[in-house]
Amino acid sequence: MTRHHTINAVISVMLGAALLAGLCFGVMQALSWDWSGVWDYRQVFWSGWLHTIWISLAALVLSIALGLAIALARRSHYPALRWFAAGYVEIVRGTPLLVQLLILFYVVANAIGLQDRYAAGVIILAIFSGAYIAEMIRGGIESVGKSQLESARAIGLTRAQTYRYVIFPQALRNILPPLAGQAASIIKDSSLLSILGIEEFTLAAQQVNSATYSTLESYLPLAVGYLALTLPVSLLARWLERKFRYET
Amino acid sequence: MKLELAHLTKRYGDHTVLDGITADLDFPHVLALLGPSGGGKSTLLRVIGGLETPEQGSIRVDGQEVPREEKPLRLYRSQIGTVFQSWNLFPHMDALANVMLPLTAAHGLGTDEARGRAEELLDRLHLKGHGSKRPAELSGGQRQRVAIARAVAIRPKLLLFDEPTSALDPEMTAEVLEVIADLKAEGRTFILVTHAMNFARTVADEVAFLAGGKIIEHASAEDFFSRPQSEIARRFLDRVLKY
Repeated sequence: MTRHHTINAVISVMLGAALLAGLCFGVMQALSWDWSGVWDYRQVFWSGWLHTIWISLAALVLSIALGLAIALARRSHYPALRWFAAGYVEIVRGTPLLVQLLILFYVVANAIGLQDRYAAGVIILAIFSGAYIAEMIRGGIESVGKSQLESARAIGLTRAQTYRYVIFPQALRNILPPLAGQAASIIKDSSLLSILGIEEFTLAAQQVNSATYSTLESYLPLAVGYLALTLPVSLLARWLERKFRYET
Repeated sequence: MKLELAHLTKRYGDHTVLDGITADLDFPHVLALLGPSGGGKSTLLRVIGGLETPEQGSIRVDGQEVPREEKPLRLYRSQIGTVFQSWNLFPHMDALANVMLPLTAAHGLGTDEARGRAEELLDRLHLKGHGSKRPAELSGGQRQRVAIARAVAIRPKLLLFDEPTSALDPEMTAEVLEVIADLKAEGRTFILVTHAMNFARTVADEVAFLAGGKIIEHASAEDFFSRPQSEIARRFLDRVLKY
């Protein structure tokens, strides 16, 4: 079954790639095609791509920590904490990332004197993604049955022990698949950081484009570079989903 | 064991489940809570186990009042072994880990000591070789015996059984009831909510009959089954013992 799925997935990916290649080839025919200018700037692409990787990784780690804290805050005994957490989630999920970037970077980061644009970019991306991850974690926690909590109470576990031994191990199977999907989202969303002048992959491609005036040759590697990152992550998410579904 | 209930009241919304119960229950080892469904048996058991807090009234177990604040209540619960109708094992842990968790987490035992105690109990409950299986790989009767092992491992001063065989087929019911009868033979003290009347009759010292949120009568098991005092208990026994 699993093997069958894998073969199907591989075939689908290959078909998709072939389609894309065909499309590109058609466009290539129509345009005059020149890679030489772009090739000279390969170092810019490479360094931008690496920046995108570490920015995404840092934002992912930070947003998991933030999401966990917010999910726990939403289940806290203290109403003020619950309201704060709920407000955060609704505000972040209700506004576009672009707007958050503009406000948090040009207004908030400026006001608190945060000069490092990379740090600011990572933090803002983590604040954005953290709201979604908080909901995933909350959903995972709530998927653990009431009888499990009752059992934990009956054997005398503290609240912290209940989370550690009973809730988190069971919630993880529901959290991991969407979390892997969120990792792919972060990679894609990090492209918006280019508007802040952060030299990640998208800004690199824009720079190459303005230096070489070869638009397609600049932006085509951009798409391929993102796919090279998100495709494995998406496949991982798919695999986790199947694995945990069969186990229950 | 002495159980003193005073004006015990528990409500869920508008519904009064325990209606001001006052009773002194004195039993050497085994008390059975019997009565029609919805009569308050399970709720009373859960209140005794510290899993529900009553709106009014108090309970004393051997003279010690069941606390109301979370911290002392948690300590109280950790000294009582509770077995639920649907076993409520932790599905992500194997049988051995299920039995060990209360020992290591709530009772501060070291891993080796906890493992030794858990393995010994699983052997005694005829679960040798099943320790590394998860609940999903065990039969209902085996699961319930693991749950009993988990409750017994902490050496509780009181065990509570909440309809331990209601979710089992007859054969598995028999294997679980045998284990419970063994526990009595070992001299353990427990309170049992059950619909298995003949079992209650043989294993219980004392019976409390609940209906409509009140203890209608309580007596020795022998007296209760041969000479029920109230009309409602008579009708109940007639109905359930008929088949």
